[in-house]
Amino acid sequence: MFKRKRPLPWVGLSLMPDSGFLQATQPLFEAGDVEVLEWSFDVGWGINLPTWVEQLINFYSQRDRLLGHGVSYSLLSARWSERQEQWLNLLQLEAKRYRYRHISEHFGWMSAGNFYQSAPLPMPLTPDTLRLGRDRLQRLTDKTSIAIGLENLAFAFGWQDILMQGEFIDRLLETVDGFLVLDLHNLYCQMHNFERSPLDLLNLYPLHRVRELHISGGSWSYSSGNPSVKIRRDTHDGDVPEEVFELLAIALKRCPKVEAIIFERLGNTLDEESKITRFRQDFYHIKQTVCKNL
Amino acid sequence: MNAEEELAAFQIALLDLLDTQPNLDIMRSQLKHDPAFAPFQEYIATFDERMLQVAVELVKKWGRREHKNTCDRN
Repeated sequence: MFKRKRPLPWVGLSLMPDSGFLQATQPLFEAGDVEVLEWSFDVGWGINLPTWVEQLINFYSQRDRLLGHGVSYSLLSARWSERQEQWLNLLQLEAKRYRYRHISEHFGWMSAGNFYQSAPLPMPLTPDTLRLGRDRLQRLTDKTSIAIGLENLAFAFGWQDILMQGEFIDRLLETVDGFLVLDLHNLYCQMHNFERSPLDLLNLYPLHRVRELHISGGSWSYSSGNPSVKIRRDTHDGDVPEEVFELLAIALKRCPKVEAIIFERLGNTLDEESKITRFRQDFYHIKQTVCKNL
Repeated sequence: MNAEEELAAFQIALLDLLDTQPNLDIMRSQLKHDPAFAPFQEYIATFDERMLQVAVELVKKWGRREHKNTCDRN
């Protein structure tokens, strides 16, 4: 008789440990409107975090509303390194210190040779890369009993990366019953850069695995070879495009298990009052989109 | 070389190339002729040159090397 209503996903922020972020977000936190917090824990290792950052992490941890999002594990780096071993040990300590609902990392790889860090880059799906990725995910789950997920990348070298990323992520996650962090601005970048429709791209991903959505803005850059060619970049420093809100509306209907929507913005890019105002408007626009579509 | 060594050699060579060689013509030539890229020619054939330029910028902005005297390409 009564249709069971799906609980609304929580809407929250990706915590940035800088004063620009604090200034822009303080009213949102004080109003109780930030329902969940995501923390890129490996960014905080080995540095002294401001007291307010630790207080926020503690607050959300105690209320079981803290999500973890690593940036430097480098899942698909071919050669296992001491740095990755140490990363796992630090993750284990992190998971004892704070209560994370789940932990995610990026699909792809960023370290090789004497590069210990770079931007995450894709790899082609082959039996060897699949075996490699599954091994690295298993090492993650062996260190913590927390649910593990992967985030899709914006960057693709070409159409093969676009077509195969969703399948690659699904086949990696199936062995650990993992989840997908679907970054909608990353899809938006691919829509523009490779002229694909939203549904074309969404249909490539295991939407039944989506537990979390990422929303952000970005920027345009211009090809040095042909300045008339615009390329969309996932730089987390701009307003959220209307098309990304449209993607959010579609994703909310197509992804039945979304628990959280995280709004990402680099704190040091909120350096003018107009940008702060627009940032707050975008945050509430996300909330309105959720209410309107579920 | 086993599969892991091939993949590692590809990744090391790719990051080095993106870091040190912003010239598209030379990059194309290296991607075609460097032995580290040989097993991945089918994949490399799908690379979009605009995205190669983006990758150069990404590595320039985010890449960090260890402070070592030798680069392990073996």
